[in-house]
Amino acid sequence: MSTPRESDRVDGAALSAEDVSFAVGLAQLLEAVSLEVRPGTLLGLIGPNGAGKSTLLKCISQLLAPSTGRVSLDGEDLRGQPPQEIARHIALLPQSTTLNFAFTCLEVVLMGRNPHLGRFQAEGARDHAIAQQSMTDTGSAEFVTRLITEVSAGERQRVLLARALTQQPRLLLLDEPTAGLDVQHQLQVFSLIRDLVGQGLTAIAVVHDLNLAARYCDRLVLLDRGAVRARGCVDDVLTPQNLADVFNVEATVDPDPALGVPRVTVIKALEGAQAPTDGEAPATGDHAIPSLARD
Amino acid sequence: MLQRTLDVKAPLALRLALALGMLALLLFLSFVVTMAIGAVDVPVGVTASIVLQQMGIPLGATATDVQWSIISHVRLPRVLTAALVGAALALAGATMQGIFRNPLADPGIIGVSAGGALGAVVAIHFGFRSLHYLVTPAFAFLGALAAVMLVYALAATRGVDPLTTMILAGVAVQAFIGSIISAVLTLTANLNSMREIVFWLTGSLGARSWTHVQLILPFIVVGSLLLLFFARDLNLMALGEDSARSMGVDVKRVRLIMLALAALVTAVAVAVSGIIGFIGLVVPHMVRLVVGPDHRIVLPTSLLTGAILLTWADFGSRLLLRPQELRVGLITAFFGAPFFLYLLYRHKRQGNVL
Repeated sequence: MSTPRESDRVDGAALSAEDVSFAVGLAQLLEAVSLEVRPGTLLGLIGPNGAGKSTLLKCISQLLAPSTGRVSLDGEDLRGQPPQEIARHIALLPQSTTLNFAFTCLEVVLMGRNPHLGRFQAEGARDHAIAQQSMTDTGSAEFVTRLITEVSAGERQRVLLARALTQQPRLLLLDEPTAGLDVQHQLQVFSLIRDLVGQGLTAIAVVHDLNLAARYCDRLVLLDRGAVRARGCVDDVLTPQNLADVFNVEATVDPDPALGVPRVTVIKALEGAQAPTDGEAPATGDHAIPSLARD
Repeated sequence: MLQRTLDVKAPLALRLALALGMLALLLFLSFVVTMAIGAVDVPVGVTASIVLQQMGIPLGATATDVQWSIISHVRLPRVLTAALVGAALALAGATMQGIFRNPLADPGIIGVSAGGALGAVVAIHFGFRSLHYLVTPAFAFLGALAAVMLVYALAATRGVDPLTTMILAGVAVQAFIGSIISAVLTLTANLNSMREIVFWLTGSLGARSWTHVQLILPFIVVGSLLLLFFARDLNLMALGEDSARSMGVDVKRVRLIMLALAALVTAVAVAVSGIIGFIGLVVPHMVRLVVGPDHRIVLPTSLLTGAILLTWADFGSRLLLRPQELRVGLITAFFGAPFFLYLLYRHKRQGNVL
């Protein structure tokens, strides 16, 4: 599904977030979150609905300005940098992409060149070559002239991933890249991301499926109500105790006989309230601030 | 009938040049043909040469004094007004549909037309219009801008989803203004004023002079050029605010600028023509069917297509019930509404959203 990288590609960057907090009104969506991602690794963000995973991705990409704290890429503070400058280094594949207009897949992928183009500059031969390479890398090269409104969900996700790669980012942020995809496409998308990371890209992905997270991520950060509950390698984070504390489920974790990676089996949901909740309980937060707390 | 004919893999500049070249030629021919025919027919060749001479190109047949004055003093300012108004409405419509990612958006969606109507109605009802023939346009212009600012202020105070809030605020403000207009109409004892108000509400391009052209030309030309400046941002914004931001578009700023410019050109158009519906709604749909959704092509081609269509609609309004003159807003609605339904039907059959 992927081919060796072009020399055109850029190496991954190191990301560091220090004490990042984000609040809207009274709702504290993120509270002093810190994390480090080494170049060429994939960090998985896991946690229940409303934990602040998407909000954290938006703070890292500066779509939302953190209330306090600092996000830096290769040591350079991102605060206050113009959106176009940030977009040359960080690409984001959001959870939902609006597709009301019948653009061809190639047109969508070429949009990724925007951060690199001047105001009246049209895409040139080099931009087309980069877009073509991204489409080849993501196995979407045959969709060039098809309409984005007419391809299947799995195909669309690969095209949108190609769009993000066309930005030639040094850090790729993915918000549930396999939501709504069938198992085959889930594996395809994650093994593709894994390949890209193997070739040097740095990536952070919000992952809902704990087994996919265990299988593909180098390290995990477990978020709960805006704060980090656990971090580290997969074995350290995916423990029955952590899962009970944060997801409120009884679960077992054992090595998967076929893959050798940790396998999470959820036995049942635990009764009762999920840990004490304060004023901005995640469940209500979702409704109170739909455009921000959606997670 | 309409197919997406331009190959997406051809360079943008080539596609743009091809589309704009054809439309510019068509616009010129539309000017000449619609001006040649009227109460007094002027040969097409003579009309063309008068237009060319007005553009500073001394070519073609010589005209008699009567022909010269009919074309250059009566019909040319009128078609130019029609073309400018059509261009402004279509461009503003394409912009609004892009910003709101909503195929039903038209320039009136944020209250411009309603506000303009209220301004004009006030000017007519209280007799201000008799002071000077430009008083009604001035009131309409101010009313349009005031309504937009009201809608924006209402939407901006709710931080949730500004686009949805703005559409809702627009609907509310339009309904509110509509009720005021009805009240004013009820209170208007003078039958002439009443007739004039009703006429203004269906739009007309009759008796437009060079003064009107000179008034609206700078606003529409500058506003349109600035809008074209942001065409690529509109493409990225079509993928959603988060995607656009992550690709380097300062969405909030760009959206505010584009809304202001679209409101401005619409307000200027409404000020001299009254309410002309369907151009802003239908033209962008027609254009996208042929050139695809890339706003870098959609915006300029909508502009020229709007100019051409309103020129012909105005021609129809002069001619269909000759010597009676129909309201041009009536013509655009009469042909625009069924055509819009045809487009919807076509989309539905193909399973496309847009």
